[in-house]
Amino acid sequence: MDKLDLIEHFQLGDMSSFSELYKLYSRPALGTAYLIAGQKSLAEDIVQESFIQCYHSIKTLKNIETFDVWFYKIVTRTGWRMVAKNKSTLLLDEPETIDTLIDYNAFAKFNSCEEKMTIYESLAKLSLPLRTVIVLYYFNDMTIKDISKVLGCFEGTVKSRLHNAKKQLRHLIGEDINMPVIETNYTGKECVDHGK
Amino acid sequence: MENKQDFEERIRMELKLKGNEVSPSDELYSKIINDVINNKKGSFEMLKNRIINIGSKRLVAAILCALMILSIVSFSTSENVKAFATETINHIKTIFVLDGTNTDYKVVEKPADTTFIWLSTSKDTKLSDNELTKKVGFQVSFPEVLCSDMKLTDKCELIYLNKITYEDSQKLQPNILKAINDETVFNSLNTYEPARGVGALYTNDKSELFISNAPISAEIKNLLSSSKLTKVDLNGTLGYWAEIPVPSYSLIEQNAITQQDITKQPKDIKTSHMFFWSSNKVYYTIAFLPDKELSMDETVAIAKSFIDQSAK
Repeated sequence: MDKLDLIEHFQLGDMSSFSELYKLYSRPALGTAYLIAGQKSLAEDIVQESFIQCYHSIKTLKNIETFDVWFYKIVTRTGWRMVAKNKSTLLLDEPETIDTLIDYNAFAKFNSCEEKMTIYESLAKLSLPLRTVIVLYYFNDMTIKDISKVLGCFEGTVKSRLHNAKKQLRHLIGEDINMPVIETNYTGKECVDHGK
Repeated sequence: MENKQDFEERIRMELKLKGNEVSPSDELYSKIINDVINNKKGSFEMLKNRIINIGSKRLVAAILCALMILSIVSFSTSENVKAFATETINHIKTIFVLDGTNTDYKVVEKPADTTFIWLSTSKDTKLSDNELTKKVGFQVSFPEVLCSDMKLTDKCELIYLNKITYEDSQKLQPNILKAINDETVFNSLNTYEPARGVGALYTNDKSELFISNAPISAEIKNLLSSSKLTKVDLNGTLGYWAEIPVPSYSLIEQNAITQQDITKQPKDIKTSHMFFWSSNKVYYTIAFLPDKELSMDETVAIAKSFIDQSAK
């Protein structure tokens, strides 16, 4: 059974198709969530929540060929929400669990020791929208067009974010050290939800 | 400074490497399944038997007949829930089940998504008694021959779900079958109070019967205590000969799984018999294929032979 058949069967309530889709998507979804959130445990929560949402909303997906965009929209939105929610909790209430934040704390080490950061470490320094665009483009191999659908943004916005993100990464990893870092703060205002 | 293309390639490579470092934990799928199931609506307190079978046609027929016998249960639905059921019954798919006790029962129509059924799923097995013992967690012993001519022909493994709605049972059908051989999937069904069991088909010229062993559950106790019973002494163990009404549902095959179609009114209700006893928290039942019933005395002899040989 190919992917589209699985999605179709899943829409009809076939749990074995859901199970097969889980096998196909859980790993890349976890990778995406991990790169966005920076913690494995949080990434698992994001994937869990995303699949649950996927299960409950699958019947609302009209064109099964757009499943990837639809699914990663769920993953990124859930990711952003859970990252925002967990950031303060983890840092303030559970400092012992910060080991999972090691990767994203690496930039502090960079600042103090003037050591070069890896791409992955410097990813944490980016704002969530820039980080997400980088992850979807380079890890998930999505097109600009698909990313714009996932994020509910114009393609131009995605291109500009990608450009800025790469610029900042270059700066953070120690190349192009004189280039000023362009701060991009996500306000959420420019996003348009194509699904609505 | 590396050129633009090299830099992009480096980003791609590092992210692929890092992102692929993580893999989903073994429990993740179970957590998802449990969550989607737990958050479903439905709070009815009704039980009904439903059987799914896979295996050789003969074995399937035997198990279906045998397990259908365990179908009589009583409702314990609250008045509020009943009111809700009446309201919604016209809008959703319904199932037909027996309501009442052995002496006073009727077929009633109930909502498929909120009515709990008692589900058993079986699959033929080639595992030895020792392997089955390890798997199910209680002593399994099926003698090759009972009463000199009743021969063991097939064995099967069973999964019982003590509390599941018909709607969920349809969705979870493939998973329930998988649970027979996959402990993780089995555990993911925790919400439905799953239990493992085993069964065997015995035949001779006169009869075909099915002996099943399963851990005692409240549901089985309810089922059996509501039947018309005759007590029998099995050399110190108490056995029961039960007269039981069995609805004749038509059988359907979906995804190569034979099952009763409880969404349609059963053709009629037949009276059948079965024999059961318990030992070490396990229920043993003997049931018959249609027109292959033995008398109570003959069945008691089979049970005694089974107990004697299993104890060796």
